[in-house]
Amino acid sequence: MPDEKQVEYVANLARIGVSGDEAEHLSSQLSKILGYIDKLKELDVDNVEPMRGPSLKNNIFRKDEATDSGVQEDILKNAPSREGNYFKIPKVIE
Amino acid sequence: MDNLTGLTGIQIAQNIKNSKLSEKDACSFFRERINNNTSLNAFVESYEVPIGADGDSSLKGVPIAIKDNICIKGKKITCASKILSSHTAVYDATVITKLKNAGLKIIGTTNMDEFAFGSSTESSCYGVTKNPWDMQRVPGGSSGGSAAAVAARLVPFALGSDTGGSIRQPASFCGIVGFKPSYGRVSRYGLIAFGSSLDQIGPLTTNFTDCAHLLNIICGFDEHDSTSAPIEKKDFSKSLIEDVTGLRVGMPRQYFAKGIDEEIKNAILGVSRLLKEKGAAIVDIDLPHTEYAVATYYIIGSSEASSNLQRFDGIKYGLRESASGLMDIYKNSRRAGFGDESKRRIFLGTYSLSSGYYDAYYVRALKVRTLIKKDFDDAFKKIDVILTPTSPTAAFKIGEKATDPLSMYLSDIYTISANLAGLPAVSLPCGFTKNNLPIGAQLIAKEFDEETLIRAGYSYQCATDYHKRMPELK
Amino acid sequence: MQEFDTVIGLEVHVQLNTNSKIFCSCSTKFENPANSNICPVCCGYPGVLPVFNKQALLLAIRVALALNCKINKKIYFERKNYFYPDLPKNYQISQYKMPLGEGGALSLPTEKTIGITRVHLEEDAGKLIHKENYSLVDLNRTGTPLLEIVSNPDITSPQDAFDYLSSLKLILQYIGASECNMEKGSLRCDANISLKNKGASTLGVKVELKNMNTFKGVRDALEYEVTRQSKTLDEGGKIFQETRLWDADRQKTEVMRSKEEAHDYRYFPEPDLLDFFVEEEFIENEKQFVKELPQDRHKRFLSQYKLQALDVDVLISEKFLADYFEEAVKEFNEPKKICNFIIGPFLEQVNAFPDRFQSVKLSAKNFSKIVKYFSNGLLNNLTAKKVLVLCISNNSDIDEIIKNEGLSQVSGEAELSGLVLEAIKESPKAVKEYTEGKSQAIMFLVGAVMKKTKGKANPKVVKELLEKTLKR
Repeated sequence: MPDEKQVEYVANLARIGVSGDEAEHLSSQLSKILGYIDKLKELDVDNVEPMRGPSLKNNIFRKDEATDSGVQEDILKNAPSREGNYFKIPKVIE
Repeated sequence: MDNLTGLTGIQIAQNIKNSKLSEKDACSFFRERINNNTSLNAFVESYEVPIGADGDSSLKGVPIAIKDNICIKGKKITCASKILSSHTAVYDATVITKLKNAGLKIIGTTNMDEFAFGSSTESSCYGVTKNPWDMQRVPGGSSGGSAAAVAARLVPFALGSDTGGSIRQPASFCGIVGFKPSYGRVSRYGLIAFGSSLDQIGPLTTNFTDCAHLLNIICGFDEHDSTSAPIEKKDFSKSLIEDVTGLRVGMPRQYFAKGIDEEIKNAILGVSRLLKEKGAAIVDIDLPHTEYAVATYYIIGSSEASSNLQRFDGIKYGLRESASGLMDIYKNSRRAGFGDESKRRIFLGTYSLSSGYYDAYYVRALKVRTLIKKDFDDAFKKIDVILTPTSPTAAFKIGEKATDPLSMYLSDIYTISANLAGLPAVSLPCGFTKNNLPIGAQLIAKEFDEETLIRAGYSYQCATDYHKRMPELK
Repeated sequence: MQEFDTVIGLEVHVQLNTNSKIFCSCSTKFENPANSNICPVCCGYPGVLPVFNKQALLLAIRVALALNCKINKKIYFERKNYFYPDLPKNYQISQYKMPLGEGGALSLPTEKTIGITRVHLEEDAGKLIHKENYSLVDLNRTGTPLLEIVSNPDITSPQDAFDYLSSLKLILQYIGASECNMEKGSLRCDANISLKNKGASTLGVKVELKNMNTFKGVRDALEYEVTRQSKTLDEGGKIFQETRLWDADRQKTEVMRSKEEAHDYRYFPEPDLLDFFVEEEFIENEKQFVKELPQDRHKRFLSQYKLQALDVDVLISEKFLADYFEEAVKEFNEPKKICNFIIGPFLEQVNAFPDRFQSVKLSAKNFSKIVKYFSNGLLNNLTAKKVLVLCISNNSDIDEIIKNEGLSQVSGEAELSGLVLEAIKESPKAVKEYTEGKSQAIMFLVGAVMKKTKGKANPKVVKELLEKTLKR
């Protein structure tokens, strides 16, 4: 069951800030939910193929033709911050 | 025409066609009802001028409402989440294009659980939608706004989305017809994804006739959705036949075991009796892995959702909390933007996919999904359609399950399996509790056999009038 | 001083030559202004879905065939999850458990063979531009189809790594799969390097090298690391598993500054794309492009056409040239002459076109005619070039052009003798110098006659006529 430390690890992977209290609360809720989910361990699934989706056999392709979306400006307008035609973000240190 | 609430969508369309009613008056009528019933909190936004194009179909001119997770170009789209509260869609979902081409009039967007996570519409950032049959109760979820709006006749019908029961369960709580098509029947392009291998868009209507006509409009292969099925388009209105002679109806023992309200159970048995009287054969069947469906669903749905929701990061669109660095933009924006239930699902999904847990949770769930699908494959060798309750209880009180996420999850027990297996399923009104709350029955059919659901549901509706009852609005 | 074996593996990313992106129909031309080739799909907008570009798959199959990989008949994509501002969905659609190709090999000119672990398809990320106090995001490149080519750790020296990259580039360009321009970013390379005690079976600690912008940079960085690591080990120090960045200006590698996070990419199958079946028809279609790879063709050209190795290098560097050459030789069996004319005037013209070979409409057959006329004296250097210029982008009839433009060489004494006398009369100074024994002065007179014929005279005949006349 995820303890607070694991919750913090997951919070970091998911990029969601959590306070100590929140981590504790989430840890107890997730433990309860995962406790229920552990039910799945009752089943022997060794020789069962995983099902990735309802149907898997379409072979749907796109033709390699370039088109202009025409909504570049609409997309940039939705940006929380922009400079010219760029999305603007805080300095990224590489 | 002064009151349109007693008319079906198809009847409204006929009146428009015969010039007894103008499209404009039809929209004004429902717009006024929306404005007079804001206490239901069914709508996120109602449009002053309806969105539509000059298309044609059997439902031309009829107003429709859209769940707030389906993109309408130039309109706000929020998924009832703070993280998207200022976002404008820059393209039309494929179903919206189809509605426009069919001449329907979109009059607004409806409330929902945030990102469709929930069974009560309580997780919306706009507050809970009220059940029009009892304002103290939830309308179900996550398409609670659509269901409440249709039940209260604020709109003749609406679109919702269903990942684990999100069309069917609110339809049952509100006493209307909620249809989830087979996975791949309706394009998901423009539906903001929750669980990509589970999501389907479907209609919420007061009756099966409207349901069949709406399905005719929204179904079909879409080149923008690789998971949509390249199969022949059908005319579902041809299945509006009152005839269930020889129909083999299976009733899974596992769905009537524990935890189900006696009133609900009796109502479903009533449905089976009626179908039998009309010539159907009722067969007991087994779906042995039913008890594992909820756990399987919460792993798969949450895993996919955790990845799907990573795009909400405050960089390109949506909420950005002020922060000194990039990491803080992510963490602060997502902390402030997502509600509790969304966070729980993201955490659960991220955890299930993370190193060391992937096989134990995610892969195991995919394997159990295979077993659940096989249960159905086996059952459908002997029967044509499965009859079950939609939900173990009627609408519960607002706040009743809000503090116990697990009990909320468990209330989806009957609807989840159809999503895991990709099967079409519908909830139809089949009675009322002694508290005058609607009860829903669920029918599930083979993959891409929507026709059997429409025929069985329509036949049932011809013999009953539950679908005609309307809640009294204050 | 201990002796070490060097163990190197390379991870190469190449952009595939498609018109549109891998999962949406935006153009892949990213020299366009910032954020002009973007759409809801490549910007990771809510509700969008990817649809796979068939040409990306076909090109990837072509590469897999060229690298002798086993091609998996069923492939699927997975999501690689990590947050970065150049990755709009915060996951990259890639391949993980079921790559397109596995177990291939690439031969180096030194006859060494390097194993290819896998080739897989994925989408490229966008670009960040760093300013003083903030950064900017350009998503034009986002969604460009990439092929990741992973070598086995078979490479044993920095020079082998350089040769591997050169051979790989030659093949990929030759089969038309990628431009492989490292400066433009259409080829990128990361390297893994470790040292082990000579002959030992246990591997040393692996260091990952990034930020090399040229093949030479890759070799330099690896050489630097060989020195650094062996020195460290010699002195009893420890090598840490880390990522180091190559600093080309300072010619050294340095540990990446940003703190190394444990990578937990949470790969899982992409639910928005179903399985793809690599049909036999796809493979058969791509085989035509890889029948003879550049190294084999190089060998054949040397022996069959008896050309200089340096000339063959040029012909083989681009498949179009090699094919054009062979077709022309079929029509006019003078390989050396065809080759010279291709490498000279022909390439000069091609390089002047912005889209190079795409502008060439002149058939190899007609081209061979020009070379033929040049070699039999009907055209001279200047006029042959002129004919080429006139028909390279329209494939007009050569004979007609020569006729219409009056370009055929004037070789008749009758036509030229009058002009020769004119030139002698007009240039007494040159005549005097010549008769006084300065034989070079005759070239001035040849030039004068050429001028009078607008370049059409056969210079050899003119010279002979002049010599004859002045001797008298």
